[in-house]
Amino acid sequence: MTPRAAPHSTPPSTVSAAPTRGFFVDMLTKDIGLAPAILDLVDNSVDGASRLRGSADFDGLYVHLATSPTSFAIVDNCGGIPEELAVDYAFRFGRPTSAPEPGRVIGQFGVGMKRALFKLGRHFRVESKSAKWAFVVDVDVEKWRRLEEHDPKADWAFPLKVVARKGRGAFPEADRGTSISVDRLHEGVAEELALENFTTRLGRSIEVAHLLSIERGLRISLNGRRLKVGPFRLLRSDRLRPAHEDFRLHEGKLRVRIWAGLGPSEPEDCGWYVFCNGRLVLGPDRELTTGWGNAIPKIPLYHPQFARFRGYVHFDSARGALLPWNTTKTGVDQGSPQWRHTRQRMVGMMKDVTDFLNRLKREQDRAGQEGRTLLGDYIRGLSPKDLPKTIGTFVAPKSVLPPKTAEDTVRIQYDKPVGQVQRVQKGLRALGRKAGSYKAAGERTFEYFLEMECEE
Amino acid sequence: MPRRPPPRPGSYERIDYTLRPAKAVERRMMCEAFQRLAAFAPLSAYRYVGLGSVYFHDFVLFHRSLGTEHMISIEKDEHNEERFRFNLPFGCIDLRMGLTTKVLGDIPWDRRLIVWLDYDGPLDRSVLTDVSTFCTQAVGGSVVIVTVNADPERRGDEQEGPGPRAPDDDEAAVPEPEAEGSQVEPFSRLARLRARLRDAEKVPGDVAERDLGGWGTARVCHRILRNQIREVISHRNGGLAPPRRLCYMQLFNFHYADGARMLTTGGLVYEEHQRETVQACRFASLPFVSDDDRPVLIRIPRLTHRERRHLDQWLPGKVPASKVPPCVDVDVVRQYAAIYKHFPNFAEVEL
Repeated sequence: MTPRAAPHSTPPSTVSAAPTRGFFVDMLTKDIGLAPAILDLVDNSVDGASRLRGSADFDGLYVHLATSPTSFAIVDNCGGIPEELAVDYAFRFGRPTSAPEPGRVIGQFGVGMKRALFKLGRHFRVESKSAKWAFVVDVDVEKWRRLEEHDPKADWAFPLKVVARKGRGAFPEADRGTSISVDRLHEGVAEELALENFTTRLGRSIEVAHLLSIERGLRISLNGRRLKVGPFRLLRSDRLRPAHEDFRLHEGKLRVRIWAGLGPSEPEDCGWYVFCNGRLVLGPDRELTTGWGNAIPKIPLYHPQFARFRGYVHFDSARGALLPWNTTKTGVDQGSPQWRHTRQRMVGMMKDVTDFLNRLKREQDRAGQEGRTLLGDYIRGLSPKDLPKTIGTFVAPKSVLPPKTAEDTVRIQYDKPVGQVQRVQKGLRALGRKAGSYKAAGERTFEYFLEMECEE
Repeated sequence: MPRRPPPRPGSYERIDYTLRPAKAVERRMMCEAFQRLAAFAPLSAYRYVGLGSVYFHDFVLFHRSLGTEHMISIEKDEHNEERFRFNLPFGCIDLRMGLTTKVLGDIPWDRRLIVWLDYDGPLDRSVLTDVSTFCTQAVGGSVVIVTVNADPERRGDEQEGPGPRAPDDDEAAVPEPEAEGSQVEPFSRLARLRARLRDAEKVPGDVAERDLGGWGTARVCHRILRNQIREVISHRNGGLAPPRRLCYMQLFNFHYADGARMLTTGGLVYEEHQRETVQACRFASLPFVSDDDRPVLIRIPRLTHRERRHLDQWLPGKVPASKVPPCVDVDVVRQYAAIYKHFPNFAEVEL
């Protein structure tokens, strides 16, 4: 539905379903949190970068965000908003179905920018320069909504002022970009922006949501601090290979790629990450949505022993309607057939990985709390690498033989009275050689003797 | 992999609190600030909540100097409950056994409180939980103070096990850091801090590994605690009429090291309509009060009893250069002048 003023000649028997401006300003903004609303604005900049560079990297492009308890600003040099986009899309409410497909972009719903601006404050100004034109949209939201009281038939348009046009040629790429500022912030927004915890969280959300764009070279900064991402990788070796699938749905219009494997043992980062056109919409997820605790096949509930699990799912399509995301891009549309199909495959792939991690845990349990296992040491010795392109199932070593270069080892076991061992532990502590377990006490005394009494 | 260190005795078994001069100075400074709270209500009407250990120094001082009679001491070491009871210095102290994260929520929140969460472990999630408990419940005019160990972490520190203040109940569900000896994952104070808080978003985004050396850990912990207080209060204010909205005014940002580096921070929570009362407290006139990021470092000058008595004759004021005791650095004299009013006299305390 495209919200518009009611037609002039509405017969009395029908009721106008056209929403009022007040509805849009007050209600729609309630559906979204402040951080996701700001992320929508970053999405627009990232879309600009994609229009400008296609699939090439984003070196030289930036998005700067500045927040304070009194104002908000986002400035980019990502190509600006071209005329057709501004007129047909960016400042319209809801993307008309007649509008051409915008290509592989993130901003799909045609509400993001307006909703974000209304969410933030009572006055905003958008300035943009693209290849062929430059314009300014300056809106006092209270005035804009009162227009309707005076004239219910007034168009929903925002006043857009064209500042410059290029008939021939184009503005240089370095000059193009968009700058948005909002002031007279709503009270709740001002309060949140005053909290350092909020800006920390916002920075992290942007880092996570746009990690792919940041990896492609886009410089995103928040209050002067450049946002960065831990590289998006999996452990890999000749004996350990992540599972990978790459397939298409909907007559090839939706591409889906899945990886499942191991990463560093970081419980906070563990789980599935779901991306739509490069934008993270869910994750790291450790819930039933992505298969944890699934019944058939049986997947365990999330537990810290799976802290190494990583799964990545990418949906890419030029048709936004095919992507399984919700309008706030804060989750997946679990009912969509594309998601159900993909989830089934994800579950199959994660089963091998959780089975392997369970095996790792069992070996560790057998070796004792402080014990080291060859398999555990092998995994710890690997470093993360780029995601593989080769399709295949998860491959992991069944057992690991000691590396050839290492000396042969033997296992020494002996029994001693507890009291004596505790005295030894105490003595070791006094020497600065901590031995928290009996096993460690044995090892430390051996090392001590070797160091102090044995010649090279 | 999970590793449970053997239970460690409470810090009271390892450290004689009477020999912590900087802490004693801090306690007396705080006591002087609390006296100003009389603008809100007589101090005898306040309730003091602390972690008294077996020494109860804070309880003794606040009972004698402030006249506080409603007192609760929280103690987690349930095995030695009898010993804590035996050492209770006054009949008005209500000893409650259990973890702060469990017990704090159950204390009566009806009257104004002074809560000093004097932990000796490092900042972790249970500390933020306790701070949040206070900030969601306390009435205007209450004070919360947190002391944490802010020594930069070293590899192997985690083998020390949890301090006397216990971790959350969900501790068991949390993985321990990867076993020692893994060469690929280098030691990182930042990673340890994040792991302890179990919420990477509590650590401000600009904090880097290099910010955690020296007093850096204390500075970062101060920021995290202040952010937590502000955030919880901001949420609590949602929906409240402006005069009833709460504000936080930081009073303390102490750095000191009797051994390990310690951070003490905290302040007053009041309602908007009490602003004039707060002004009447004139906290800003106390030289050791800090309402910003700049810490007040408590340094204990190494001076003999005779030297101190000698210097006292010119204090407050400037000690003439000719009167500085022989071979004593002027800097030491300056340190002493800053704290002489609060300087502990051990010989008297334990008599």
